[in-house]
Amino acid sequence: MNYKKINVKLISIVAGVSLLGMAAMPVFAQTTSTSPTRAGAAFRARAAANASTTAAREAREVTNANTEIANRIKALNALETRVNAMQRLSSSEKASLSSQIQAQITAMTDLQSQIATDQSDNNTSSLKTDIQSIAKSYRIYMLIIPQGALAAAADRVLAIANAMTTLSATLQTRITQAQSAGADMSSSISALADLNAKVADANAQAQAAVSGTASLAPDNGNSTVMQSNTAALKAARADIQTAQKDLVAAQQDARTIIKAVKAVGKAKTATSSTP
Amino acid sequence: MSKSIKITIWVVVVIVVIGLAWWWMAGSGQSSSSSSTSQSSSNTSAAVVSTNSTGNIAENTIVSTGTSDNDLDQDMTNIDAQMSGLSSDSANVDASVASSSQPVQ
Repeated sequence: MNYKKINVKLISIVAGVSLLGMAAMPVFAQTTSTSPTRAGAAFRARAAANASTTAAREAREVTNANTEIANRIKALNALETRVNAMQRLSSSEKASLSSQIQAQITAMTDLQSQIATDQSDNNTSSLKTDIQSIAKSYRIYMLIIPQGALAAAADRVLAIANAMTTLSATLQTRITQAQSAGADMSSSISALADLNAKVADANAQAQAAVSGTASLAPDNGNSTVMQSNTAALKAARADIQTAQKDLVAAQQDARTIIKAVKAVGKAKTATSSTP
Repeated sequence: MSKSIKITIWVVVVIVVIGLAWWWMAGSGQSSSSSSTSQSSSNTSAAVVSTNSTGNIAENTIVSTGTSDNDLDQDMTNIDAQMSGLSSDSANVDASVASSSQPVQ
């Protein structure tokens, strides 16, 4: 037998043994071998290192999950504060929002406890499911926060509209006084009519935004409900945008009128002070 | 060292490297899949909006019922402040509705 043949056999044997060794590694990694060989000890060391890595990875994931839950609870508490400060929404609308927010805070707190239990029980599959459910099942960022943000914006629109209605009455008084003094206030009258129309539309848009989103419920994985919720939130956002444009226009109308009535007042003062 | 022995050593080295790489990938695959939720929820948290908008609404003090020039100026100043708050609220709405439209992975 020459050296070439021996080498070919040697290569085949070494390669075969190496492949078998690699194939066996995962098995050794998950079982405790009692083999006293050095290879067994190496495998056990590797398995221990793997287990340590897995534990460290799970600990990181639990830490991340706790951070995500804390962020959600913080956002929900901020929303609750904002809801409590609302002045124009009805008591029932505020109560409904508060109830949903509190339910989500309770759910997040319970989930945090469940994740801690999963970790201490070393229940990997339950831990994974519970961590995934933070985003997939509770829809805090997908529904509750947008719903609250829309309600907050609608409440402010209603408050500003109400204030502008009061201002409109004051402006009407000043216009009447100016007309009594002989001034031509036709442009101010026109601006006041536009102001009143814009305020009325802003009111209607804000009410539509609230009524369109107040009764939305979490989709719980139902894609049809999710699409319906998303469509309702987008429609309400469009309502708020329209209301905001209405109020900006009304604000401009008010400036125009105030400038006009001030000018009449100054002219009257100048006339009366002329010797 | 003969050429055949060198080849043998290289074959063994390549097999070992491939084996280690496969073992490493198999071990880290589970890690990446199970951490996907954390990743997606972290992305979502980037869209967290402040619901504590600029100033609380003190509706009774937005406008007065006075009719003087000063009263009107003060009323407009107060309305301007509330309009700024509305801009902030509206931006919150945009951000939160936009993030709600993103699919959860």
